[in-house]
Amino acid sequence: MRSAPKKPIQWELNLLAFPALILVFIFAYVPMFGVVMAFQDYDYQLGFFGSPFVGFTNFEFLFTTGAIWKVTANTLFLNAVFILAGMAGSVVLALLMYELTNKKAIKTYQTILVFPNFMSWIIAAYMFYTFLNPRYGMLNQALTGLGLEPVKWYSDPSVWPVILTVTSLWKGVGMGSLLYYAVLMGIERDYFEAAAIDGATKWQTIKKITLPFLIPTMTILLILSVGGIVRADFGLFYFMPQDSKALYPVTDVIDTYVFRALRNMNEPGMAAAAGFLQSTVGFFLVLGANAFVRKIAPENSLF
Amino acid sequence: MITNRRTPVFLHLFFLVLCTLMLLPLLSVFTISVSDDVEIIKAGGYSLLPRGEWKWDAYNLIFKNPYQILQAYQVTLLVTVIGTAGSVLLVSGLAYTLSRRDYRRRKAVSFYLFFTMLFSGGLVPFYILVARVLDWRDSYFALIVPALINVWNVFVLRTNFQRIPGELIESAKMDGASEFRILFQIILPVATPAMATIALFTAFGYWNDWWLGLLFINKPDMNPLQLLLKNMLSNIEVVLARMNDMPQSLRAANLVPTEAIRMAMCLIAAGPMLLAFPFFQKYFVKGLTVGAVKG
Amino acid sequence: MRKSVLTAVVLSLALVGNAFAQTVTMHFPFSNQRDSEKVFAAASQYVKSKIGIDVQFVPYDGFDNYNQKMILQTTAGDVMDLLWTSHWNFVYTDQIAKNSFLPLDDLLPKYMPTYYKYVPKAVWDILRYSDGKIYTVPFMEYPVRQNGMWFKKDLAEKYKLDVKAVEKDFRALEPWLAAVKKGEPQITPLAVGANTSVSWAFESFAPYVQVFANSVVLKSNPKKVVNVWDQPYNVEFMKTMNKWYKAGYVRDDAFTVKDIAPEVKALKYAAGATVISPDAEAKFKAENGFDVVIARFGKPMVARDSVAGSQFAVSRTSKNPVNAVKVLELLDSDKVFYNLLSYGIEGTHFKKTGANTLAKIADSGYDPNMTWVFGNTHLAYLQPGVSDKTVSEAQTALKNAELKLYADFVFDQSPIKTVEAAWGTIYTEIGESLGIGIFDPAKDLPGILEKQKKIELNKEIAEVQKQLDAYLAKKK
Repeated sequence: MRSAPKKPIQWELNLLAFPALILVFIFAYVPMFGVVMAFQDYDYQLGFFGSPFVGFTNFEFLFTTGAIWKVTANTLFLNAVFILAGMAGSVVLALLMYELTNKKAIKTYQTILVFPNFMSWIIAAYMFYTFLNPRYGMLNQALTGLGLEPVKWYSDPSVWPVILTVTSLWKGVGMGSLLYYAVLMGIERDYFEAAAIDGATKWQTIKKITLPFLIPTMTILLILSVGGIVRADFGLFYFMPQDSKALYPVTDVIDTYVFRALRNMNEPGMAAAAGFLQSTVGFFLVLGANAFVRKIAPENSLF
Repeated sequence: MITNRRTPVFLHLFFLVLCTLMLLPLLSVFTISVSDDVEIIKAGGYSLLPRGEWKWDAYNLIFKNPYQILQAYQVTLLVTVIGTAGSVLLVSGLAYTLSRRDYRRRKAVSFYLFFTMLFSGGLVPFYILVARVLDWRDSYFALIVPALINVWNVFVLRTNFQRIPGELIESAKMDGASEFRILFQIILPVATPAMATIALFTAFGYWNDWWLGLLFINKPDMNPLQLLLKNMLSNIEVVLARMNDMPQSLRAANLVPTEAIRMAMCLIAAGPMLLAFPFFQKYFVKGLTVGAVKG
Repeated sequence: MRKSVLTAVVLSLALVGNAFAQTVTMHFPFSNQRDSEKVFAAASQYVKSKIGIDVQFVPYDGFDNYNQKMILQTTAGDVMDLLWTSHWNFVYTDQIAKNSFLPLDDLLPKYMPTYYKYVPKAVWDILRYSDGKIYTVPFMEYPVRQNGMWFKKDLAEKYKLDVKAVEKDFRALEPWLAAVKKGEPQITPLAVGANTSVSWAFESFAPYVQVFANSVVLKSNPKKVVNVWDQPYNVEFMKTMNKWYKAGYVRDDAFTVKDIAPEVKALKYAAGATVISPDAEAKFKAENGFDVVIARFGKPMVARDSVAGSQFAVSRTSKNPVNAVKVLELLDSDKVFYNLLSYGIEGTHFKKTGANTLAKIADSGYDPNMTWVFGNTHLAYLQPGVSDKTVSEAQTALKNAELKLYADFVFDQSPIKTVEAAWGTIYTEIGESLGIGIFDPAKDLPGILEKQKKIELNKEIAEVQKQLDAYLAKKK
């Protein structure tokens, strides 16, 4: 079994990767053949192989109502806000955390900040309901206490971009900050000492030393999230607004739309069409983002 | 940033305030779970801290007939333990292979994985695959196997493996170690923080999953915890149906503390994870390093 | 726990082995009970001993859950036999259009002779699909439909409700609603929630009859199909509902009330919409625990929603449709089987107090309270307080009632699928607002009309007209 050190035993590596790759093939690649549904007048009895093909008919309803524009715009806008707010919040938190010296305090803060990440959206929805309930919720009590008009949270779409961003930050910012904090921990302290000797201000140190270290990670996370920008966090959008129809103009995203299309309209072909469009848009967005990064900073591009 | 610097007080203040804000939702849920429904309505609404004395009625009612909850706990626990163990094993194998710069198909495999983050076949084909082709309805397989490989975790772990000095591997090979031995006896022990992090992520993924349960589980005895919660959120009758042993007098007079029961259930479901979390926390920062997909 | 895994493995192997090929599976919505499995085991045994067929009961917890799962399962082509369906949940016409059910015309007279004769021909005719075939077996309860409203008796008397006037014109309700609103601050006048409105009860006051989604025919000219959104009455109606909402007769957070029944029982409302049967007052009291006055709107009629509310169909994937129909025959004609599913095991879950009456045993572990899901409620043992004339009353009512206009006309929507799908996405957004009264026609209507134009909703009206013409020509 001895082999030259430079030559890895490829079959062993293959074997280690194989089970996982097979599972990915079965559960991610096999169902992809289902996209044919998007182009079929799907008949339950005839199935994938027998249903007649109808070209792009299934896509029509998405465009005649303008629904596709609305849900796509919602998805892109809200996700973009989440990504940017999340990234800014995480980086700032990481930088601040890096300033702390008390190990115990750091641990405690981190634990508390990260805990929401591990709550399911179902539980989170219960939690925020205690604030948002229009009759008994604490926010409305506070508002009336201040002499202001109470807000009908679950039927007023205009406040939901803010609510969704806040909850998304609540859940994700702690974990995000840890990702960056981990990078900061890897920086040699010498850099900072040298900067201090040169008399650099704190802001200069951050700009010249700390941020450049963070940028590769930021870029990678950004590209990855651009790939996911058309995929809304289903739990967030489905459970948090309690599926209130009045909020659809703002909270309806591609995922919830596709889910409802299948459930209510009983037209799997049309649901598949919406899903297909979603994947396609996401795919091209990532290609675009990657091409852009490759141009300005090739070492940070994905592929 | 000289090592003997002191942390300004305002920074601590900032973190204290932030941490309090993060915990508020949890606190309010707890408060409702120990409050009286009628009192909430009388007082004009929920509050952050219990208004009157603490009432444990909701917990008592739940634990009086805990069959349904214990059952759900058991399902979720089993799925979480087996799923996490299996997932960590398979993911680390794949991540190790990808971390080897001398692995021939590295680029192709990376793209193969990355593509699945972008494109999916949709719900119906996935359902047909699991429910009909594999015939896994009402089986633990449906709750475990589809979620075994999380591509994101593969990439995180691979990046971590890559930071392990190449000399370690080189010298092991000189001694004639197989790739399996290198992975299990050299890489994994060194990468404990990363492994712990991935394990925790996976465990929480399984613990919080309701989607697979919703799709593939019909038998009430096999409902995972989160699905039970979801059903209770949408329908209070589901809560009441579980409470078969509830005193008739309570039920008739509509004195069942429904809000408190909901919130108590919420805490009972989240509890174990809240308790488990701090033990993993020490590995966290070290284990969380994200790298480029292309490696 | 190891045992559970083992069980799972064995179970899935058994499924793969197709061991249940001869078993009839029966899928229905349910509310899970502690003793479900015990009762279903007893029921299976009973069926086996009676007709030698193995039945496997597959309950689904909750209606929403049922709808969701069944759509997925029929879409995926799962092998199933008997499927519960209705006009409001897991909608049977949609499923027939998608080819999920088997036509039963040949099977019914042969394998379901008793119940086939028991259900009146008029009912079967209403259920015929546009291809003229029967796909579903209806339940029998009170197959005549009349809408109405309930009013808390004490409040009706205290604020002098004129029921006769309300029955003539629902708008006569307004002064009473205002008085309740003013005099009873703890009570909301109308029981309206996210999916519970009162507006549907006023259907009979409209000068038109709905034929399909947006298509109506005027009572004055029932051969011409028009768009309901163009009707002045409809605009006025929306205005009234909006006025009531603004006046606070409806909870301002009605959107968040997904399940209104417990609140009605908790005496939080003064009035609400309901479906009327001859003993509506007694029935309501039995269910909710307080006395009511009932207003009855329009005439009792046989309509699709009075006979299609609970049905069973045979899945096209069924391996033994004949056995499936035989099981249905037993369910709809055998008292023991029917009451076993409805009330549980005699002695354990209920006691018989007479030849045809029972008393439930409290907290026994089986009380789903869903007798109507299982089909022929005329077989049910009577609970205390329920009149023994219920069945004969239902039969007389059916004989005397008139057929709702075009009740047996089935619209085939496949030619305008895209239009309907598009309209569906628009309507989901406004449906609840319309029901609650949040929809303000002055502000919101122009946008909706605009959208209707964009999706070419007039195609629906034209297609309905075309099919109605064909239907009328055939009738003659």
